[in-house]
Amino acid sequence: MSDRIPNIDQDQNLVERSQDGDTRAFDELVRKYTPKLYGLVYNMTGNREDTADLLQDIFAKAYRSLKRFQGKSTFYTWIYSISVNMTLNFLKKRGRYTKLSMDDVDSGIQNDPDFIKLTSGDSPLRDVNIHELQKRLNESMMKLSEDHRTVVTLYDVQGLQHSEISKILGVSEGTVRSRLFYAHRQLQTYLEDFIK
Amino acid sequence: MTEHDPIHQLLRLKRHEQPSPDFVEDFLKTFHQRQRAELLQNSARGLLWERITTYFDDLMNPKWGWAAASVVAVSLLAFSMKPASGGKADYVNNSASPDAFEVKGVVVSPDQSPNANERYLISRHNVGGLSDPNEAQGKALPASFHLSDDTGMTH
Repeated sequence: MSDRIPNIDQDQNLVERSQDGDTRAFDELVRKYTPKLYGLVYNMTGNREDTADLLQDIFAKAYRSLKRFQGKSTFYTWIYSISVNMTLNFLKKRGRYTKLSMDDVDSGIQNDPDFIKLTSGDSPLRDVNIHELQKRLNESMMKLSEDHRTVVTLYDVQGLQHSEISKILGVSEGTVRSRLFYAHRQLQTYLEDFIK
Repeated sequence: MTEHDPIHQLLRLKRHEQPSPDFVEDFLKTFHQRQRAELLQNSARGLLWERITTYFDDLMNPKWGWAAASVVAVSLLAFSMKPASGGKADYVNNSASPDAFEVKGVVVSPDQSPNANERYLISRHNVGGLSDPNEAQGKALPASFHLSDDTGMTH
């Protein structure tokens, strides 16, 4: 899980250079964090067009606010907090209307140990089409409340630790664990035919 | 809620949902375009703001301040030098009494109003005819004239 945490010293250097007006340093931060934040926003909105638009807003806001970033938290926590807050605001405005538009599943899934394990032997997933699985997972995620979806995305999909999530969301670790527990219980109901 | 939780294992598969490989570079290109557009918009706003502040700075320039102060001072001076009351009241006040109002050389012309001749003839009739030699000569009469006959009686 630690491989998912970006190099803090390198980030600090890029942030300082960006604060001094080096736009190429900020470009590096954008390159580095776009894939990670894409995963976060995409799994929270369930729509790739909304994700691309929101990411533009997120980085634009980060760029404008960078002068005020004092380094009390890591850039990683800071940019994730901005992303979560902006995505939650977006979801509130969007309301219940959700049009799912899914990204392609990369070929790496065929070699993923989890996927191999889940589709081997007499598993109910053995004959399940990958796209069907993806559709069901996304639909189930969208049935969760926004708060629950956020912790599931950060913990299960992005692989962040409870302590990191609590810093990003500004809640206690206990709250993170509790939200995860209830979210998983709900997902178990929605996906029971895949995990028998 | 462990690594071996089947729900967790299922959800972890979602990390394989990825945008196209050139997404990041395209995204960065769009980001730059957007930044430039914002910069231009801010420049236009900044230019407008600069013009407004320059205008007000010029307005607050000492020379304009002196000019404004001079105008106010001249106005106050003119106002203080002006007589305290209006012309009509003066005219009344200058008289000792309205009763002593004196008209000198005011000419009553028979042509002044359309009914003047008629009123004059009636008044003459009431006082005894049109025998006034002044009148016969067509001379104008003073407004406060006295009609008197040869006996010296005033009518």
